[in-house]
Amino acid sequence: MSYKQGDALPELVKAPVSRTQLVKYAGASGDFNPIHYDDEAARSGGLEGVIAHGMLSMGFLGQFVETAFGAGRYKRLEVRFQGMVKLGEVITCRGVVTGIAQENGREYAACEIEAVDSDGRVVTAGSAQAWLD
Amino acid sequence: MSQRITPEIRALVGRKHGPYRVRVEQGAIEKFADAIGDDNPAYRGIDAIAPPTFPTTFRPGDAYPDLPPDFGDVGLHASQVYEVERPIRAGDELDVSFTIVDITEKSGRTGDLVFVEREYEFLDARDGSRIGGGKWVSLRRFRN
Repeated sequence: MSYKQGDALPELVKAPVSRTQLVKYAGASGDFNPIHYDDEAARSGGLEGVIAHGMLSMGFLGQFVETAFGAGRYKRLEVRFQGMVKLGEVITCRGVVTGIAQENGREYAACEIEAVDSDGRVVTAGSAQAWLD
Repeated sequence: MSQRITPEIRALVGRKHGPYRVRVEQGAIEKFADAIGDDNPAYRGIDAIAPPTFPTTFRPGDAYPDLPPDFGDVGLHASQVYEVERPIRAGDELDVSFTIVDITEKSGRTGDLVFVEREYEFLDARDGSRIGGGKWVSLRRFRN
C-alpha cells in the first residue's frame, strides 16, 4: 500500500450493531459486563439501555486500519471512547494520513482515525500507526 | 478534590498483576474476528495472525488489583492503546502483565468520575522479548 500525508483512508461502513453481535463479542472477548447485553443492568447503571462494548468500536477501527494497510501492518492504535454506541447504530470508520515516519529503517504512516454513528457523531477516535512496507 | 480517592484506593497505584501466561489459539482468533464482523482471511487458519485488538482477550482472571466492585454506579472504558513489535500469531505464548500507573478523579456534568490507568506488557514466553503492550484506562461514574 502506498500512502502519503493528507491521503484519506478508504471508509469502512459496518453492519448495524445487533444484540447478537454484542453477545458474540462478549463471548469472544471475555467481557461479560451485563450493560452490554442486559437492558435492566444498563438502566440501573444510569444508561438508557444496552450499549456496545467500547472495544467493539476499537475493533472496527482495527479492521479499518488493517483493511487500508494490509493485515499484520498495524503498529499502534490509540483511541478514546467518546460516545456510546446503541443497538442498531451503523458505524462508519474513516481516517486520514497525518504523516510518514521511519523506525529502524522501516516507513510507517501516522493517521488520525475515528468511528462515527449514523448521525455523524464521533463515538471513538484517536490515532493509528501502520507499516508501509 | 480527592473525596473519592481514599488512601486505600491511592495505594493501588504501583500494584502489578502478573505475569500470567496466555496461549494464542487459532479458534479464539477466528471467533474474535467473527464477532467484530471482520472476514479478513489473515485471521483464519493454522497460520492466523491476530487482529489489532485481540489482546483484549488476555483477561487477568478474577483476582487482580482494582477498585472495589461496588465503587461507583457504573464502570466504563475511557481509552485504550495497543502496540506491537510484530503481529501476534496463533501458537504464540505470551507472558502478560499490567501495572496500575495512575488513579485520578474529576467532576463531570453527570457526577464524579474516577479513572484508573494501567500499562500492559506482552512478552514472548520463549525468549522474554517484548511483543507489544498497551494502556487501559477505565472509569467509574458516580451519579449526582
